[in-house]
Amino acid sequence: MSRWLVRLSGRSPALLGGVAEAPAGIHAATAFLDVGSGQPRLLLPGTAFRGVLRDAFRRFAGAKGAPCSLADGCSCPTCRLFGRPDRSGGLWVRSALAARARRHLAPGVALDRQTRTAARAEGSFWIEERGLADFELDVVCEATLSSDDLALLEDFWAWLELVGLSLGRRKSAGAGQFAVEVLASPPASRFPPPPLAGSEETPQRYLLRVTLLEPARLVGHRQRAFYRDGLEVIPAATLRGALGWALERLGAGSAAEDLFIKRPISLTPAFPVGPNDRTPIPPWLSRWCCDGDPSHIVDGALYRVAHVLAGTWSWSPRACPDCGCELREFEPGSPPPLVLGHVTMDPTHRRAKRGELHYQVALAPGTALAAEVLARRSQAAALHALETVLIGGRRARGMGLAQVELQDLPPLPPLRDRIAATARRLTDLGAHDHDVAVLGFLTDAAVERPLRDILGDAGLEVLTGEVRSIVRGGWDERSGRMRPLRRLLQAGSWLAVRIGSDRALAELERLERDGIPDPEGVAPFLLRVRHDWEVVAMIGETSPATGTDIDELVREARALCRKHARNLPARAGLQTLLRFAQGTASVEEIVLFIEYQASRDQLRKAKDFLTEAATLIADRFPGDPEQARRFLGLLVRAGNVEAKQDVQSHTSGGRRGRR
Amino acid sequence: MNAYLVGYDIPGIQRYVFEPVRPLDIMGGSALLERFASEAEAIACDHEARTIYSAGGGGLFIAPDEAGASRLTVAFRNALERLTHGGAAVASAAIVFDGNFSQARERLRQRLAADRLARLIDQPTETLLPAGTPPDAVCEACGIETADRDSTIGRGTDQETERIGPRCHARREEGRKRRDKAGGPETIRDLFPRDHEDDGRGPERLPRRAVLAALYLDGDGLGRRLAEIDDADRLRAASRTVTSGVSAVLQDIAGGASTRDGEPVLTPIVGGDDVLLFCDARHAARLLHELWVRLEQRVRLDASPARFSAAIVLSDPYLPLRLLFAEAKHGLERAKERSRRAERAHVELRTLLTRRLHGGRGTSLLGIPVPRERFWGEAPSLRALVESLAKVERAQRSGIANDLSEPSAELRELLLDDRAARQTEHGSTAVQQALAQARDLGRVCATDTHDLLRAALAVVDLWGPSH
Repeated sequence: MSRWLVRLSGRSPALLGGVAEAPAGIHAATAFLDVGSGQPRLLLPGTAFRGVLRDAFRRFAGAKGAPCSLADGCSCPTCRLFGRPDRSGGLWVRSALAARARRHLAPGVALDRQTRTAARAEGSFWIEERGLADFELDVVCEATLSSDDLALLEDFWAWLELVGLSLGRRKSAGAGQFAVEVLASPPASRFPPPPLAGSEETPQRYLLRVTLLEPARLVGHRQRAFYRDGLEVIPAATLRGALGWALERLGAGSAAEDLFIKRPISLTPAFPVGPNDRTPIPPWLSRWCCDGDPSHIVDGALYRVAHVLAGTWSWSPRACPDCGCELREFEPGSPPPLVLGHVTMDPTHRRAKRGELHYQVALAPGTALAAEVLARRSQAAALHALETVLIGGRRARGMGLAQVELQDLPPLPPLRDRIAATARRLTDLGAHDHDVAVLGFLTDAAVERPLRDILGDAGLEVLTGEVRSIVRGGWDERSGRMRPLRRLLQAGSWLAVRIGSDRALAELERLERDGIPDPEGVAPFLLRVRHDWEVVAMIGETSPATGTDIDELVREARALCRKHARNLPARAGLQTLLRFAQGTASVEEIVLFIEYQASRDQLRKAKDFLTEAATLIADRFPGDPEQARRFLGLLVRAGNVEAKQDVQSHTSGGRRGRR
Repeated sequence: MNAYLVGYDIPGIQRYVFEPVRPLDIMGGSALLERFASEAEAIACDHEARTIYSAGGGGLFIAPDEAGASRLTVAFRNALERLTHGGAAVASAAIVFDGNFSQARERLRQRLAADRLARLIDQPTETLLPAGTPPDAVCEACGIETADRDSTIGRGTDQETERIGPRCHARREEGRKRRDKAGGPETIRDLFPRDHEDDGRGPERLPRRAVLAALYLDGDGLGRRLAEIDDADRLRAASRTVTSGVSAVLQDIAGGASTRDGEPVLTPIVGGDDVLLFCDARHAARLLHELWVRLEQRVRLDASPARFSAAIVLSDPYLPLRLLFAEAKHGLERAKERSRRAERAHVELRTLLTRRLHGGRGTSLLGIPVPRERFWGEAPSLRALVESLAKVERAQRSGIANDLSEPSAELRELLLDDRAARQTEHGSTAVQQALAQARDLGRVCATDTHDLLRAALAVVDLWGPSH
């Protein structure tokens, strides 16, 4: 395996437009992620970088005597490394997320060619939002490259380092220029073989947290010739494949075989979660949510069971048992979709092919999903050692990289205790002396025989429940053909069953342990006997409040200017302070300059303000010229605002109401 | 002899309606369910049963005897099976009606739930497409049935032929019938005017910067008020008032739009008191206002006008419609929750256009649902804010958007004040006035001024005075 780290240093702001158009007076926007929640993050999709890289490589290889014929079946170095429509290439390019990106507004006008002045036509004034950022991207070749290809690629990297690269839109106008540095990185360390333990080990519960580092393309069945809708969960079979493949790539094929073939672990689909969500995995149906603050989530399943058993309670809860507020059915929120557009390049004209614009729905980077895993401790050690996996489609084009983290979950109470808890809760709801288990569906499931019959054979009588269906298909890598498309019973559904005998209890234990075999033999249908009120504790970091330090700084600047509103220097005077500060790295020098300004006769009126500002900067920002400059920048604006407001309040006899 | 209360309920309506991706097929699916509701009334009449209501995926009838009730439940199943070619299934049940209407309805509800459950757990998993089905044998409209015929879609030079299955054929034909009747559009493309720029632009073909809007309205507490009616005749009358009133208003809007103003709307879902329609986003606010006024005139319960909460979702027109619907549904729930607390209609404005204007708060543009009169009424309202923002120069609007992207609330406030002060110095008070409007509106709606400004910036090009 060969691996390179490509460092791109932004020389000019890039217009990396997704399909998101900003309508607020900006005509073309760069697709920043999560601007409102903190520092803007800029995504460079691997597919965009790969396209530019391919184009540059094709020209480079042509100049070196290995041109691409642009014909079907071409086997030039470009097609071998970057692929053709009918064949995948050897190079994989990852996406990159720049954490510290700067936004630039680039206004421009169209020129009238006759008058050679700015055109007056509608739409000739044009504002673009661009982003300046540095990126680090991984370029990986899984296979062993021939010495010729490797040499050509190394030459190509060296050439790129000399000439740089242009990315995104408006390249001809100078946008998106990057300096390139390519470093050969060592291949990922091989995986130590996990210790294989005896089969007597008892499986434990774990929470597998998957955080997307790149957009993930998880699709449902084909809906149009070119269109597949995005899924909001990672199906268990996809997750299983991703984990197995990640282990295989790290040389831990034996661990993968142990986890998925010899002693298969149990895995639920991964559902979207927030950082501090207290939500069961999977989210059960029949949950209700109250209007109170804080809002409580009430499990409505037992109300329905009690109603069926005794008719003493309403079919669904009417008011929140905690706060008495009104309840409504709870639907867990879905993660925001990221819609990516991509074009096919016309290699002759080096522009997007006409009619080759496609869109795909993906999950955005940063989306967190969680699945529950039932595995032996030795098996969990293998999963613990995994840091990242590739999930979903278009993995060679910078999609699907995700961080995985395995966390311990407390063991479930014994089956009898859970059933007893259900009985107690049912008694509270007026249904006395019933041995009832609430069976939750942990996975989307297919059954060869009616589920009622399967449970009936185990001595379990279905009382009631809430079950939904979902359409799922798949692709069988081994046979190279589609798996059947079926309407499955959806994870999160539940059934209440009456336990008639000890044999039924034993069967229930067996069902919970082994599940019901899948007709396709992919993954068994997993069931869990739920207890009264089940919440999986989610461990997550609280996102820090953003902008609070700046808030404080702004308040101080405004307070200072308000205090001296009638004796502030003119805006130009304040800007002189800022300009001086921008030219020095010493806070003492900045303070000295402000004090000098305070001593000047021309600024006698503003002496108190300037002296106080100098003292404040000296006290608050010793050794931090960046903060001192920021504070002076705020003083320029605050001075302008507070002086005007003072005049207004003077003329109107009162301060204008503020937010 | 005891009378019998008979009910039907169509589970998974949303799944059935949104299975295909084309709006004509979505509209057809919804129209088939509407047609089933009317046919159910006719079937009930044939079986000498009395219809209490039949709309919005549910129906309630009184049959004279057990045999009649039993025949009716079977007839409902057969009728929906025939109409949708098995695409949708109905749960139906009958129980003895002993005089206590409320109790009988509760028991019937339980029986219908049991019947719905039985459909999923009393049969093996349904295989829609067998393993190894070649891609060209799959229906191109929904992807979940085998294609058996060619069908055309679109008009003129945009017309395409595709292979579809019997279920989608049934939907499409019904959708066409409804479109021909109301004269509405067939594709999302038809919602937008054409201009010379669109010629030869490949399959996307939509005008640049076209924005699609989904409007979703639902009566506040109408379902609950209907459920509380304990007299069959009164329930029947009330239900008919709501259903026919909503249908009439929709017909007016769709018919009027196609003939008068040339502002087409797609109405994929009309059921009971639910209305979902898609339109060019430039007309969404005005259309919502018009819908409110007309619904208020036509839909009355106990002599008082019904209150309708609403959600508007703005989106790029190529997004899957089910995403718009899911967002609209979520928005409508929030609006209804507010309406219930405040006892007046609210509207939630959401966007799937871009996340950069959302301030990390998901996709709600205004932060919270706002009262109807604060949306498109007299100042202070979003309309007034949009109008005053439209007077601000385009470059200044970009600057305001830039100011609003700062993470610090205090800094945002300072930057906006500074911008307004500088503009005033240069003789333009437009920014100052827009800020004042936003602050007034924020105060009366108890929401963040900056959220309101972001929302107004997002819609100013759509809903400004030029439109």
